[in-house]
Amino acid sequence: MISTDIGVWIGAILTIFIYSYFITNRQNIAFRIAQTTVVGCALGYIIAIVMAKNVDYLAIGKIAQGNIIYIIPLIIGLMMYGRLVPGYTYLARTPIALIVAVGLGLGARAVFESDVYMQILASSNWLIVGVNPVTAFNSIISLIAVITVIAYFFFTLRPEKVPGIKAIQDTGRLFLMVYFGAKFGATIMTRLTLFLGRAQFLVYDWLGF
Amino acid sequence: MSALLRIDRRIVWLIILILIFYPLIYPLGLPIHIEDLTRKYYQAIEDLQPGSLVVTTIDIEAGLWGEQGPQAIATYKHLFDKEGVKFIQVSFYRADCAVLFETMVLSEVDRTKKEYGVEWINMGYLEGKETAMSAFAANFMYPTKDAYGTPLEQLPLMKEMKSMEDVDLFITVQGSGYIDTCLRQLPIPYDIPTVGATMSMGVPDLLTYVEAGMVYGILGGLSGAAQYEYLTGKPGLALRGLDSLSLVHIFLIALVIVINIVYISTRSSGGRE
Amino acid sequence: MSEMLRREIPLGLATIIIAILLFDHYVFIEFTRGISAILQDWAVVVVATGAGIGVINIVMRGIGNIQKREAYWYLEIWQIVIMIIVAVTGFIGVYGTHPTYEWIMKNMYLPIDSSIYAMVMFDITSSFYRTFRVRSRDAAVLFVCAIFTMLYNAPITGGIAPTLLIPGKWLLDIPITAAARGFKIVTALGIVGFTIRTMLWHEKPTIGVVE
Repeated sequence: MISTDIGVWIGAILTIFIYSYFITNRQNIAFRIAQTTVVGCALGYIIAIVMAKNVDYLAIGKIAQGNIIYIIPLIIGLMMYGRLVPGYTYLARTPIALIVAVGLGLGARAVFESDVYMQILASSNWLIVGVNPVTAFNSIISLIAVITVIAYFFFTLRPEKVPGIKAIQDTGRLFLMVYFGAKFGATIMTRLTLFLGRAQFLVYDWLGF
Repeated sequence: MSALLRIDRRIVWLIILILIFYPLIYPLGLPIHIEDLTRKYYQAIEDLQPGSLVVTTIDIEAGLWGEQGPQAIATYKHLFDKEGVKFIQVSFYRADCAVLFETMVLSEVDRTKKEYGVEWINMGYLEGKETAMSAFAANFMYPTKDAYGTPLEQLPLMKEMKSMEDVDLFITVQGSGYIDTCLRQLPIPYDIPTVGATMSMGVPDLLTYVEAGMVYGILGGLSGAAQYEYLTGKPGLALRGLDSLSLVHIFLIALVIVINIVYISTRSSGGRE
Repeated sequence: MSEMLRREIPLGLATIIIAILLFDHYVFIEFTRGISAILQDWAVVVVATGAGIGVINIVMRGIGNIQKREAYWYLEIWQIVIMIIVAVTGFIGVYGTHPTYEWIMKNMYLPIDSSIYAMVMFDITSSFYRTFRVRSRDAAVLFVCAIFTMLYNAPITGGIAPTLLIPGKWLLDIPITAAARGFKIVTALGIVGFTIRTMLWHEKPTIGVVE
């Protein structure tokens, strides 16, 4: 039986508004209503949750407990608004520097362990000798794939200077095509499933099948 | 036949829409298979003993709910059913991830099975992405309050769970773009066994961690969620959507193979595309 | 001072912060560990405090559209109204737990956001059959791997023809995982290299320093 919940009806109507884009083949008023609604909601939660909640819990709360030092990041964060004032946009460089530097520092130190060291360690587990032929074959393919894909991205290795590198990089490109083919196949599945979620909402929650 | 090469996309879309909506209304009951990694994901949670301490992250933005929502619901239903298992739930990616957990996941689980503050805590959304992950992993008191504004020192579970070093299992339900970051900041530095649920397109990347021994089980997309629902014995949206998924996949595969046969034969006979 | 704020202070700050964080990861000294923790906290506060700049930009653009009476200008008013409602209800009580806030996010934000993401399905399916043509060796490899992956992902394949799963499973387990591993290693080396270049002031635009 069709839903009597006003929330479900609003959700269904807004869903249909979005897909009206494909009927008119361009943005129309229904699509724009839905678009402005989602942007407005997103802006609202940035204000309430991203800004207010986190500043309250992580800065003001700590300042109230006596950690006066947390005034400094509040001031640095406010410097970001220098971007809005002509002639003072340079003020935003300091908070950007802090955010980018912390992100890079954390990322670089962690990525080396998880994405370089552990991956190379995992690659060294591929056995070629003393195992059955299928395992040996798979290990050889894996080893060739890893080495050639890495070699592909060393663009400073020019074919005219390094003999044989072109064949290695071509093989790497082939394995990358294998990888991207699989990614594309999986992406289709993902996007289909996302639409399926909307279809299930319309059929089960709204129309009541 | 060469008209196939110029087929109007609206015809293809119409066929896809029919193949999606028809099985939702009239289920076909097509068979499925259970993958090894899905079984390992299920087993990792099933094997948790009373007293086990778990950290879960749910970082599905609203747009990905269709694919990963069933994964999250099935996972948390399973966790709430595990007697004596305690967990902390947290979101790092966006604020709407925490909202989804509150409104869409918690409404589907039986919350009476676990006492809040003693057996589970919802930290809500922590701003800062990788920075917040690193800070939280080192000290679970970092957010100072839970999602409901309660100071963390008032919650009994926080006496047992202080950092990732105390954790027995890490479960993450993540969109594919963020799972690398989450893994390298939370479980990997502390050598915590991990299982992950991600989108279908994130599975190839997650497999590298499986081979490296850092991740034990994977749920891949809606198909993974459906298999997991089957294993837990709690059918849900994922199982109901599999028929549509199967039909559309077969249709697209058949279409593109036929088009390529026509293309190759047209090209070899000197025709134009 | 303003000259130093334009260049030396942001670049120098980035260098010092990256150095502390990298040092802290490999050498345990209580002092640097404390500094590292504080820096991480501060970064979160700075992000949270500065997040409003995007909001202000969009609102100012909306007000501009209203003043100039651009197409659908009246919807900008609706956008500002809904923003205020969500922000206010998000503030009330414990942040983000008010029933009105949750109702709006569940019944308005979630359906629209999900629908926008799902729109791509139409474009991706039409691009799949229109552009996946076997024109070259690389295209053939791309095509074959996509087909086998889709066969492996299709839930029905395992139920009716398990043999068809074998090529897809082998591709996923061996060459695709290996290629993904190579990709991951190279990306990680790139991140490390980029971080070091930023420390040495060779990536100034990243910090916003444009000369």
